[in-house]
Amino acid sequence: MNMQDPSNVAQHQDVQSLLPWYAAGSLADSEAERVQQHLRECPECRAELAWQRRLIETAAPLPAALDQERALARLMARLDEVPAPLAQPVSKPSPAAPAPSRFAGALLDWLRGPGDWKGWAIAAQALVIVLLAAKMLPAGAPPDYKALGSAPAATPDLLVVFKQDASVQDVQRLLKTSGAHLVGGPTATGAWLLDVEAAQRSAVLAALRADPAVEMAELLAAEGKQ
Amino acid sequence: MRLGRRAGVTGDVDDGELVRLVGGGDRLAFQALYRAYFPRLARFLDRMTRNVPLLEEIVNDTMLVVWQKASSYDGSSKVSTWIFGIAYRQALKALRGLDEPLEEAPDVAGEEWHEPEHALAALQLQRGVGRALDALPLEQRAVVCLTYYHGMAYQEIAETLSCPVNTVKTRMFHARLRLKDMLSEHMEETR
Repeated sequence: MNMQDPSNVAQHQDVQSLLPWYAAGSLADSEAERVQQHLRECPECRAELAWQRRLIETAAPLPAALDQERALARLMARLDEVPAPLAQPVSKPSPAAPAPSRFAGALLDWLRGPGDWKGWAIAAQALVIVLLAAKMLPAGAPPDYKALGSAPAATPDLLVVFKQDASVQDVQRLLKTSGAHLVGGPTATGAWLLDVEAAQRSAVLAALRADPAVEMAELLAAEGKQ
Repeated sequence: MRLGRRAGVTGDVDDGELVRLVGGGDRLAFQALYRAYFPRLARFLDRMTRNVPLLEEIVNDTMLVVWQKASSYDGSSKVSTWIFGIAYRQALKALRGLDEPLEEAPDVAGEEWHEPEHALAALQLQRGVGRALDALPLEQRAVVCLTYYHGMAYQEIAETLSCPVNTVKTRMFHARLRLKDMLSEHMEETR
């Protein structure tokens, strides 16, 4: 290609600026065609494209320590501490609600406040208690125990966090009387995942929430599972 | 590969429908949306901080804002653009507030000479790219990451980062120059 021709130079620069999105496959068709045409006659842009593709291929894996379910359990507990979203009738698209700006500011302050990591300490405690409790279950009782982080093939129904001072007996009693099965956990915040008969779900949830040994109980199951 | 497969709890409900349900206070829909976005947000934010607990907190801060604001989402932008935009602002706030120094990933070249040569080269390249990306200013890093690792079009990135399209292209241009400079020894064989 003749780079003395100003229109070629302009085209070259235009294509150069689009190459990252061409390499990633996110250009609109018309632009992608323009890039393709130019690539045929421009070795410099072909080399640049090869370099960028190599960069894309070297995406590093995510840190192994990330735990989606643990993080979600922490957040679900936080939802209870903030006011629920402005209730909008779900049936019709909501007109843009006026932003509660003062509240948003307070929320942001709260979010940026000193990290709340005390959950981690409680988690360690709860872990010991519930590991003991799990050992006491009748053999074969936990039907399908899933370690967190494995594929969420079975969707647990309930998430429960026991109080720091809950005893082994408390946990044992709760599992026995509720008919719930321990199917997963602990998350690092000490949350355990329970499997409950669909028909019993709300009753078990209410019973768990009312129990003094329970710090928090939350519904997890989807409607579709019923 | 699509990273954010939903955990099978909502069937084929699309993101827009999920956000609408979340706006009505539906916790199950919120959990489904969370599971769909966690891997994508984590990949985006992983380029912003190396600190795993902090990364999870920024994802949670982001999704808490989604919970609070879902009822005012008007569908004028894609759900992913809206959520990534929130994540970007949360990340800037968290990281600027902390002024977290960019940690150098440990340089392990010396310890790993016993590895097969090609594996070592691949690993070194991966680490090299990671280090080079970490050395970019946050704004450039966000553009590079959304372009290369999230398949976002430049118009969508402009919307996500609330900046003009030309700014996206300019940031990309400068980022490429710097990456090339930093990665010259790793990437020579492709020239």
